[in-house]
Amino acid sequence: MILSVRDFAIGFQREGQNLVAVDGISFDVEAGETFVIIGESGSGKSLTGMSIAGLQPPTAFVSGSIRFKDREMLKRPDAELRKLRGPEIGLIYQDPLSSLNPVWPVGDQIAETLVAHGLAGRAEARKRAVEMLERVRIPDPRRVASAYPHEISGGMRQRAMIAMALAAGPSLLIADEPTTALDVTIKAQMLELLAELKHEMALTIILITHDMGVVAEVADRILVLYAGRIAEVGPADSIMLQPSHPYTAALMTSAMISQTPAKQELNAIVGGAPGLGAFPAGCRFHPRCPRAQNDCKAVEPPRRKFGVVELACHHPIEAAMSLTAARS
Amino acid sequence: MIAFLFKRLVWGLLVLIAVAVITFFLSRVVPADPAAFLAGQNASEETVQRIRVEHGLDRPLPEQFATYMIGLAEGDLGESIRTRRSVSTDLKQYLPATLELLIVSFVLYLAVSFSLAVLAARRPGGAVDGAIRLITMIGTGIPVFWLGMTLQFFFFYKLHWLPLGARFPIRETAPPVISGFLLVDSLLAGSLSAFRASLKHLTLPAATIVVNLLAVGTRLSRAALIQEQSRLYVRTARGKGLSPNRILFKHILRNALSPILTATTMQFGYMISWVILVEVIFDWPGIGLYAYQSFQVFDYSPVIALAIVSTAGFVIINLVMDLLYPVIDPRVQSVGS
Repeated sequence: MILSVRDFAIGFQREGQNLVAVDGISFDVEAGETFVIIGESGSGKSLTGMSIAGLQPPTAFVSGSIRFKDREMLKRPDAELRKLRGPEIGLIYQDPLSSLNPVWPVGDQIAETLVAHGLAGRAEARKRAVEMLERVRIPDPRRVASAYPHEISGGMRQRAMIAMALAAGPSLLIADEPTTALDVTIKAQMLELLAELKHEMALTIILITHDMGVVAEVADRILVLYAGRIAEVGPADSIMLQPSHPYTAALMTSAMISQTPAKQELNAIVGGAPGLGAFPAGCRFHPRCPRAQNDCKAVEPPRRKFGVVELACHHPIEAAMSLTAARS
Repeated sequence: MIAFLFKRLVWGLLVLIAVAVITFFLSRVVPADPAAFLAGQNASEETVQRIRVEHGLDRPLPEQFATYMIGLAEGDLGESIRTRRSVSTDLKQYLPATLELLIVSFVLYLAVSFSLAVLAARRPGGAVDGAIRLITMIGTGIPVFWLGMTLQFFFFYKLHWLPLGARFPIRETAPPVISGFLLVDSLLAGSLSAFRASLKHLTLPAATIVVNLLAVGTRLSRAALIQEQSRLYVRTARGKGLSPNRILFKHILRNALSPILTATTMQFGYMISWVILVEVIFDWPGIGLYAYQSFQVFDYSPVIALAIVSTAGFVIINLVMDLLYPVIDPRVQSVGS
C-alpha cells in the first residue's frame, strides 16, 4: 500500500460558515495500480488529489489522515512536503497551456525540477530534460526543449507536462483531468503513453477525471465520489460492467449515450450536482436518484461491502439488473 | 520591425510638432511683454522697442510662428532672452543634471516600489499590506513642495546630514565634465569624495520624487504580482516542489514584468513633470529650473524647449518599452505585427 486516506475531510470557512467540500472519505491505493477517482465537478475529487500532494488551498481546513509511504501528509510543514513533490510525487493538470510557464522554454521548465531538488547541475539537467522529452515520445525532443509552450501543440504540451512531472523519478503520479482539454485521438495517445510509462517507470497513478471513457481504458480500481462522499469504490471491471450504486450506473449510461452517434434524449442523470454548502440531508444523491425512497431522504447510507465493491447506498442495484435499471 | 520603428518615429515627430505648436501659442497668449521685463523698470520706451525688434517680438504672430518653426526644423530652439545664449547651448549644460536626477530617481523608484510590492503581495489584505498601503498613500498625499521642504528642514537644518540644494558643494571643484553626470564624472576623475558629495546632493531631490510616486507604483506592481500568483503555472511550480522564493523570483516576477513595465512607462511621464518642481525646490541646475527661471521673465524659447524635450523623452521611453516587450514575453512576437 502506497497511500492510505482515512476520514479525510476538507472545507472552507465562508462568512462564518463551515462549508465542507469533502466529508470524511477513506480509501487505499496499492503500489503499481491505476486508481481512478471519478466524479462531477464539485464532487471534491481535485481537492482530494491536490491534498495528497499537500497542495490544498491555504485557506482550507482539513482533518483526518493522508499517509503516503507511511508519512503523514496533512500535518507536514510545507518545506518538507516540497521535498516530496518532484522526487516522490509528480503532478499533471488539466490545462497544459496555462499550467506551463509561458515565458520559459519547455526544456528549462523540465530541467528546473532536477536543479531545484539538487538532483543535477544545470547542464546535466538540460540533457536529462531532452531525454525525458524523448521518453514521452516526442519526436523532436531537442527542438521542443528550446520551444516556448505556445509554440507547440496541445498534445505536445501535455507530454511535456508529463515529462516535467516524471523528471525527478517519482513513484506516484497524480493526474488531475489530464485529458480534458485534448481531442479524442490525442486523448487516446495520452492514455496509452501513461499506461506505458507506468510500466516502464514502476509508477502508481491516481487519475482524477469525470470522463468515463478515460476510466475504461486504464483503471484498475475506481472510486466514485459524489458531493464530497464516496458512493462506491472497488475493482474497475465490476464497477463499470455491473455498477451497484445508482449514481455509478447513471454515469455509465450517460457515457454510453454520449458515444452513440444518433441524437437521443439524454435521460441519464436528472438535475445537477449540489453545490458547496447545499448538500441535501440523507443520501446526497437522493434528489436525483431514480431508486430513492423515504429512508434515502432521512438517513445517510453507511458504507458497506456489497459483493466485491464497497458502497454507500440503501437500495443498490443487484448485479443482474444493473444496466437495465439505470436506464429506467 | 523596421516598418514599425519608422511608423513610431513618424508618430513621435507629429506629437513633437503638435507640442511645439501648442506651447508656442500658449506662451504668446500670456499678456506680458518680455522686452519690457528685460529692459528693466526704468528703461525708456525706445530701449524696450529696440529689444523688441532685436528679438523679433514686434513682428505679427504668424510671422513669429513661422520663423520659430523653420528654426525648429533646422534644430534651432531659439534664443534665450535671459541668458543671451542659444537655447541649445543652455540645454547642453542643464540637461545632464536633469537626466541624472531622473535616472537615479527612476532606478530608486523601481527598486523601492517593487520591493514593497513583493512584501505586500505575500499576504494581500494582511497587516504588512495594509501598512505599506497607508505609508505609500501618505507619501503621495503630501504635496511635493511641502515634502521637499520638510525633508530639507530635517536633513539639512536639524540633522546637518544632507545639503540644502544644488548639485555640488559650491566651495569645491567639480570634476571635469565628460558625461555631464556628476556621479559618472567624479568616478572617471577618480575622486570618491566628489562622488560622495554628488550622491549627497542627489539624495533629497530623488527621495522627494520617489516618495511622491510610490503609492501608485507599489499598488500597480502589487496588483500584477497578485494576479500572477493565481495563475496555473504557479500551481505547477508548487507541484514541482519549488520554494516560495524560487517561484516568486523565477516564475512570477518574469511574468509580472510586462504589466509592471506598462505602468512604469506612464509613471515616467509623471516623473518628468515632477522633476521641474523638485528642481525649483532644491535649486537643482537642470532644465526644469532653467525653464522656470525663464518663464518668470517671460522668456519663451526655453519654456517651449522644455516642453519639446520632455515630450521627446517620453516618446523615446515609450518606444524603448515597446521594443522590450518581445524580449520579456516570448508570446509577443513582434510589436509591429
